[in-house]
Amino acid sequence: MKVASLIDDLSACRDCVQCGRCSSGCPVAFESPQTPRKVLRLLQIGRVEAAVHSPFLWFCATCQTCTVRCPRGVDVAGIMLALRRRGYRKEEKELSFYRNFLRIVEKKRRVSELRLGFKMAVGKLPLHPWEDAVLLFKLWRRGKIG
Amino acid sequence: MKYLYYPGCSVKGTARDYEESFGSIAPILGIEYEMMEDWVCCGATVAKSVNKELAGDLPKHAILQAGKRSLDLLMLCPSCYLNHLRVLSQSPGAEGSIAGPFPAQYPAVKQLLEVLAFDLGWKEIRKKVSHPLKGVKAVPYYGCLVIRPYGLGGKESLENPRTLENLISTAGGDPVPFPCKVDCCGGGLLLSKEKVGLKLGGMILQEAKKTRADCVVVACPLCHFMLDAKQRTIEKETGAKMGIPVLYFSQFLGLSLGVEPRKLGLHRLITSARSFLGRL
Repeated sequence: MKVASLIDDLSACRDCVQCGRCSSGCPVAFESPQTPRKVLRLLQIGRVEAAVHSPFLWFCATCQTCTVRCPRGVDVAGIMLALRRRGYRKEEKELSFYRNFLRIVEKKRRVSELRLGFKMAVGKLPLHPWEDAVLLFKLWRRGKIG
Repeated sequence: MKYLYYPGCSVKGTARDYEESFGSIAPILGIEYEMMEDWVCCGATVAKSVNKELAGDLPKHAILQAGKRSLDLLMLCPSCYLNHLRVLSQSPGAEGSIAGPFPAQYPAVKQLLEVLAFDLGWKEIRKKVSHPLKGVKAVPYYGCLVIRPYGLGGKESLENPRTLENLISTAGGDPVPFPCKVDCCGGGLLLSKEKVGLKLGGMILQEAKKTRADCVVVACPLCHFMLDAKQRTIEKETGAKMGIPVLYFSQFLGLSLGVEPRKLGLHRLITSARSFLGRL
């Protein structure tokens, strides 16, 4: 078993033959305006900035399906993470989840799911607020939070 | 066999039942462990998305402690497991600012499922099954990170793993064939892209419902939160009735070992397992 470390080097995109297997197995490709194959293509033709700001990046669930299925051995999920690190701006409203999570880790060294959930809910109302409020109560009754 | 047990943030919160059931089955199976007191968050997917240095430093706390005590690390959460595995296998200092000193004899990082399947073995576990769950149909659902990208320490298939199936049959139940067993549940997107996350979770639950199984068996706190706690929200979103209990594999195995449901934390499920437990 070979365990890969986090990569910064994007040159692995040259191995990609654009077969699209990453995108066909990608669980979020149906929602995202771009697919992982397209992001790799942008890198291949040198449009690194476009790849860094690709809307696909923050849809990625880091499920690793693309990485294990790539016939050319490209660590696709690793490249997505590398691009995320390049493009991350903590002021961006869309990325408040990442900012809030890190703030909690830096302060407390551990994540409180309740605190994180609250912070997110304050910034943007969840899709089903009533259900979530009921769930919050149920979690508390069952000793799972607080 | 003795391990150093690293809990993790979820396991101390919404996945409290995972830890409870682990604590109840470990003495029966002969898994010895020490609790890690001074643990820190592994960084989940967030640290590696934002800051490489942090993503390297956070898991090192646990690895250094395990090295000092020369014990293997045991984890429940697949995300913690993957992060520690990644950092452990690199040369010291490849990621992050803490350069070591890494112990000469690196400890191993293991997930509970790996310990059950390969360190103990199903044969040994079967001997201790006192209340086989006869006639219980269970959906084996792995999700992503316990299997991908390293297949339980390189010992499992990435596309068609069998470990949970073996666990279910060891406990006396019937694993049902489940085509979505390594698909993503969307749990990681729950707070950042809720709609997408709920859609993915909904797909898993709908497929599970089609198999007419009694319960789903999972290995990950996030999968469990998505499929159990968020089940009501998913019902609302998809308009389909689900009502299928979701158990951690340690809870499922615990039932077959004759542990009381309360000691396995089954009273903490959001989607009640009462109808299923009543039939046992």
